[in-house]
Amino acid sequence: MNIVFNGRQEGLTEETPLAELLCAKGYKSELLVVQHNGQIHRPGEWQALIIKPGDQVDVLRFVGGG
Amino acid sequence: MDKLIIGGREIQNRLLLGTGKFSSYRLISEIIARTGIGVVTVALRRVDPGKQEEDVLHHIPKDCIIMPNTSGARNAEEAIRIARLGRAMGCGDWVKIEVISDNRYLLPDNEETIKATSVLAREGFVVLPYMNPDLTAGRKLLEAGAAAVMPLGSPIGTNRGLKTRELVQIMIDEIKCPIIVDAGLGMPSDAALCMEIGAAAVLVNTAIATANDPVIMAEAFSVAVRAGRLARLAGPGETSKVARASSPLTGFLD
Repeated sequence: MNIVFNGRQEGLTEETPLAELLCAKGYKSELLVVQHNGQIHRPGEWQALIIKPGDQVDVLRFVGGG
Repeated sequence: MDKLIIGGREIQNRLLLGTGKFSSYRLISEIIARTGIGVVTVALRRVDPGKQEEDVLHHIPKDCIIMPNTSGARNAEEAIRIARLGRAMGCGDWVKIEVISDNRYLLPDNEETIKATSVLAREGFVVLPYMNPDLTAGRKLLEAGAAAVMPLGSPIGTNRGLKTRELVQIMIDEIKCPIIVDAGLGMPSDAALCMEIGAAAVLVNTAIATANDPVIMAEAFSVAVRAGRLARLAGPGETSKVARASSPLTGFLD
């Protein structure tokens, strides 16, 4: 199955909880927010959220900006 | 008392700080400690695994107002989405609307900015829109619910100073909300000039972040902003084309 992760097409072997997907990718900070198919999800919701084929996932954080 | 109140919050230092381009985020906390700056902007970006840089929020004291910007937005819809994401990340209701579709000069799109301001103000955001200085657009932003209006001094990151002085002056004189000059100020004297002509505050990033010593430059800007504000409050004397003697013109010694 394919998903769009941070704007790029990516293969995924099976439907996966978002928390596991992010952990496998090495994300650590709690100061992240995820946009999944246009909806905003805080870390507490990541385990229950299952990533399915065609989903769009963006991992965001604050950076320096003017 | 000379208070600046925006969105129900009293702003102690009329210098607002943008946090981009610093060589280290540690400089930001050092600057805030040294100047008492109370409003800082941040940006929201995708973060890729393995490239998890230091978190800018760790370097901003809890009592600071964090104002996410909507940089990267090319229209109102994108700006609204970024603003909602920023609020969802738990940094409060303030937002700097920045809608830019011109990549060379990074000039803002006033029409889309007004649309975004209207929607976000209705959702309870404290909206500070970055805009091209224009009286009509400024009035529309105020009607749309902007808490302050932020015309540019010159294009973003150029350090060229207050090139838009005449238009900004008209906005200051005619629009009944705080006018904050945002973008393009290069030297503390530019900031002092903005304050002398009646700006409520200035927002500075590049001039501070790219100085050899950003902490000292921030202090210089802070002092200049205070000096300009005091001069404005003092009420400058009139100018004249011919000399007017400062010493009495009678009682000369023979």
